[in-house]
Amino acid sequence: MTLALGIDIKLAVAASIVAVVATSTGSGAASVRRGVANTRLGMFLEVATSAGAISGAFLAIALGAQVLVALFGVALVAAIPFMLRPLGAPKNGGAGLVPAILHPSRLRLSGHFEDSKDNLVAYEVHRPGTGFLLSGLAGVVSGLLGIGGGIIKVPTMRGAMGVPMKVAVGTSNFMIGVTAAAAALVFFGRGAVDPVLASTAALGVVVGSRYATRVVERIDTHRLVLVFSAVLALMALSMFLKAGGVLP
Amino acid sequence: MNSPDPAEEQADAPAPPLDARPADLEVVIPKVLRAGLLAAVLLMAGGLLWFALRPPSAGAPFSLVDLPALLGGADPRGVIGAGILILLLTPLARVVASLAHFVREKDRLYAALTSIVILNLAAAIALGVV
Repeated sequence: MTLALGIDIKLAVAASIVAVVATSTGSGAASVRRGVANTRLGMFLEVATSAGAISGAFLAIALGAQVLVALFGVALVAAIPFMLRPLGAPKNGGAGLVPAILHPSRLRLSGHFEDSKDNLVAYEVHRPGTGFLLSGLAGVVSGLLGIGGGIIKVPTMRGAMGVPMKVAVGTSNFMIGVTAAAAALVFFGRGAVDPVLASTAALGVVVGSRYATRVVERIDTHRLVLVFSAVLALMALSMFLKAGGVLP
Repeated sequence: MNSPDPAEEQADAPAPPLDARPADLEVVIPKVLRAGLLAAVLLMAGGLLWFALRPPSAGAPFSLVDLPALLGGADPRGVIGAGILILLLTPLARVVASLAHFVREKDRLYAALTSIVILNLAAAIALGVV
């Protein structure tokens, strides 16, 4: 948005995050209705994403984001291998650093979804502690850059927590509303929301996202992973170019 | 992957653990989200239309605390702002509905987790306007 319209970065971030709330509200509702959002997992991770988003919003208000944008690029590159080759189940059965109350069985995160017609897939969820920390990071990035943060949430759920791709995308859609709203409320309170800019962006994405969720439902999972990995690589490249001053 | 006989496939599959997807929440959540989004879209679109037909001096950004004054002064930006506020409170409404569900189910862990999310969103409002 900054690139295309040449507007103040803070106003752009604030308008963008308001638009993200709108997208996620529509696509989140669709994901839940279609049974591809793990609501329990989403609510658990939202504790971290909402807190992270508030910190990210204040960072965006306080900082010039160049170094942080570069760090974001590093995070995206690091996520690619985990997308392509998920970690699988932890060897010690998930015990260890995680406090007993956050053990996967205690959180009852395992779930199922309909992969294709009449084909139910059950899955386990691993490493809630790691997922929680990375979700906090996703929240910070979301508030800082005015993005949904699915670009980190999806690799976290798929790569570290062992969640199937479609459920990772659906749960991410579901979580982004709360994450982005936390950041957007900070921006709104601080007077960074331009009503005309933000509402125009929000109305625009509502139309676009209705189409996108439908595509994700139909697309082959393997192809979805490849598309997502390619997007990660492209975003990382543009982040590095921005940080290096090649792109504005 | 796709079995020709659905019944056979069902029998082979392990009993699906329903825990992660509370059935009634899966009905309530989309309803709350869609109602909030619809109200927000109508207010934002109506406000923008009004703004376009009768533009005030400028579309300058304003803070949450200015909203009541703008609405009182019949400023189209107030209507747009109200739409944005409803949009931003819609995820909060969804979490509140979830909290009610977990309290009813006596699921203390998730009632606590959703309460923390509500507190975080309240903190976002408070820290923003302070």
